Amino acid sequence: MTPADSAIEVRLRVNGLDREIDVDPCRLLVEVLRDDLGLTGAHVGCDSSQCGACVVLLNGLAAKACTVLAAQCNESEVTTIEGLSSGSELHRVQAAFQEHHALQCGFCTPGMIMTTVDLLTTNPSPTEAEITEALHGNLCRCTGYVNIVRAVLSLAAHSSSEGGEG
Amino acid sequence: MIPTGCSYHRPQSIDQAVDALTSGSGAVILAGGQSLIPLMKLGQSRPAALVDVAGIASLRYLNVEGRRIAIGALTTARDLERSTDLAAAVPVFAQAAKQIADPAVRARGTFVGALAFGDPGGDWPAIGLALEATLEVCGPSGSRQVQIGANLTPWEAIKRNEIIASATIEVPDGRTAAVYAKVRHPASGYALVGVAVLLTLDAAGVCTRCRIAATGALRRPARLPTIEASILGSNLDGLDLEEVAASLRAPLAGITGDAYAGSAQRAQLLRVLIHRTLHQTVAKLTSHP
Ligand SMILES: Cc1cc2nc3c(=O)[nH]c(=O)nc-3n(C[C@H](O)[C@H](O)[C@H](O)COP(=O)(O)OP(=O)(O)OC[C@H]3O[C@@H](n4cnc5c(N)ncnc54)[C@H](O)[C@@H]3O)c2cc1C
Ligand code: FES
Ligand code: FES
Repeated sequence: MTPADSAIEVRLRVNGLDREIDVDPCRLLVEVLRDDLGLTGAHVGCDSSQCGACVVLLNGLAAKACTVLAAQCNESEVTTIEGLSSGSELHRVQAAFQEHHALQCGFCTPGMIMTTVDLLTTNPSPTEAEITEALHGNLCRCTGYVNIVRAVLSLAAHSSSEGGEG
Repeated sequence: MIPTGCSYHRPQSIDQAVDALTSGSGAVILAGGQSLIPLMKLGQSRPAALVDVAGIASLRYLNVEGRRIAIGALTTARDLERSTDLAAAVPVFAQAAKQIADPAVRARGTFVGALAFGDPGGDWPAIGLALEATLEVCGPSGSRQVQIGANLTPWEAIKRNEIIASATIEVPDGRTAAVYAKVRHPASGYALVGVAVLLTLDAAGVCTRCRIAATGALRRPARLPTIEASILGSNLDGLDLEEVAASLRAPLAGITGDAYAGSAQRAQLLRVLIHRTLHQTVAKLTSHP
C-alpha cells in the first residue's frame, strides 16, 4: 500500500484556526506543522524525542511534536510559538526570555518557551528546582541554562520580578 | 521521520479496537506513542496498521477508592503525577511519575502502555510488578482478569489481538507502604537501575509481605524473589542495616550491562537502591504506623 492510499483526514485547530488536512498516518505533527502549514517555529533538533526543540502545546499540554503523529491530533487544539504573541506584542514568557538574555542562537527557544507556558499554567510559582525539573527535556547548546532559569523564575508569581544583573 | 507507511484506525470502542487488531495482520495498538513512535522511526517496529485507542472514551479514567486504584488505559503519567486523591492514597505513584522522562513525555505516555511494553529500563513496569497490578484484558472472546505475580509479567500476559483496558492495584490495608527510586540515565532519562519496594509490617514490626521489583539492570523488569524471601519474616522495626546488606552481598543473577554502565556497576547500583528503598519504606511505616 502506498502512503497516499492510506491518507486520512485530520481536523484540528492550530493557533486558533480550524484546519482540515489529509495526511499520511505516519507523518509526524512537527512535519505537518512545518511543511504543510508553514509554521516553522517548532524546530527539529534531534527527531528522537530528546531535545525538546519541537515542543508545542497539544490541548494545552506540552508535547514533543516529533513524537506525536499528526493523525493523533484529530479534534485537538495545537498551539505553536507563532500562536503565542498577539500582534507585535510578545507573550510574557517571550518577553522574559528577551529581557533576561535567555537565548543565543534561538534554536531551542520555541520549545523552551512552550514548555514554560505549560509549567506556569499548572504551577504559577515554580521554584528554581521545579523549573530545572520541568525543563529537563529541553536541551540548549548555547546558554548554559542559567539565564533561561532566571527568565522563568522572573515570571513566578512569588518573584519580586527585578530584572537586574543578579 | 518515520520511514515506512501504514494504515490507521480510530476505533471508538474496545470491540472496534479488538476487531481492527484481529482483522489485519501486523496491526498494533497506539496509545501515547512515546515508546512506539521512537521505535517506528528507528525501523525497529514496522506495523502494517496502527490502532489508535485514544478515541475510546471509556478507557480514560482514574478511580481512587480507598487504597484500590483503577487506572484506565489512557491515563497518562501526568494524570498519575497530578492526582491529589492518588497522592493521598498511594503516594508512590506521584513519586515515581516525577522521575519519568520529562513533562512533555509524561503528558502522553500511559501507565498501561508502559506495562504492555515492558521497556527494560521502564519505571512503571517496576511499580506494576511490586504493587501486583491486575490487568483487565479484552480480546475476541471477551475479557479476562490477569493478576501479575512473581512469575508473570504484564507484557507476557497479552496476545497480539488483545487490549489491556485497565490496571487495578489494591494496596493491602494495615502497615503497608511502597517506595520507588532510580538512578536515571543522564541522556535518555530511563532507569539505569530502578527499584520498587512494597512492604507490609505487622503490629510487632515483622515483615508479612515483601515485594521488590527491579528495572534497568535486567533483561526485562522483574521481581527479585530470593531477596524478597530473605526479608520476609524479619523484624524490620529494628531493621539492621548490616543484616540487609549481608543478604545483598550474595551474587545477583542475570544483571545486564552496556557501554554506558557495565553489569558490575549495575549490580552495585541495584544493591544500593534496594537498601535505600527498604529503609525509606520502613521509615514511612514507622512515621505513620
Ligand atoms: C524521551 C523519552 C524518555 C522516556 N523516559 C522514560 C523513563 O524515564 N521511564 C519510563 O518508564 N519511560 C520512559 N519513556 C517511555 C514512556 O514512559 C512511554 O510512554 C511508555 O513506556 C509507553 O506508553 P505509551 O502510552 O506511550 O505507549 P505506546 O508507545 O503507544 O505503546 C507502547 C507499546 O505498548 C502497546 N500498548 C499500548 N497500550 C496498550 C494497551 N492498552 N493494551 C495493549 N497494548 C498496548 C503498543 O502496542 C506498543 O507496542 C520515555 C519516552 C521518551 C520518548
Ligand atoms: S526534535 Fe523533537 S525532541 Fe528533538
Ligand atoms: S540558544 Fe542556542 S540552543 Fe539554546
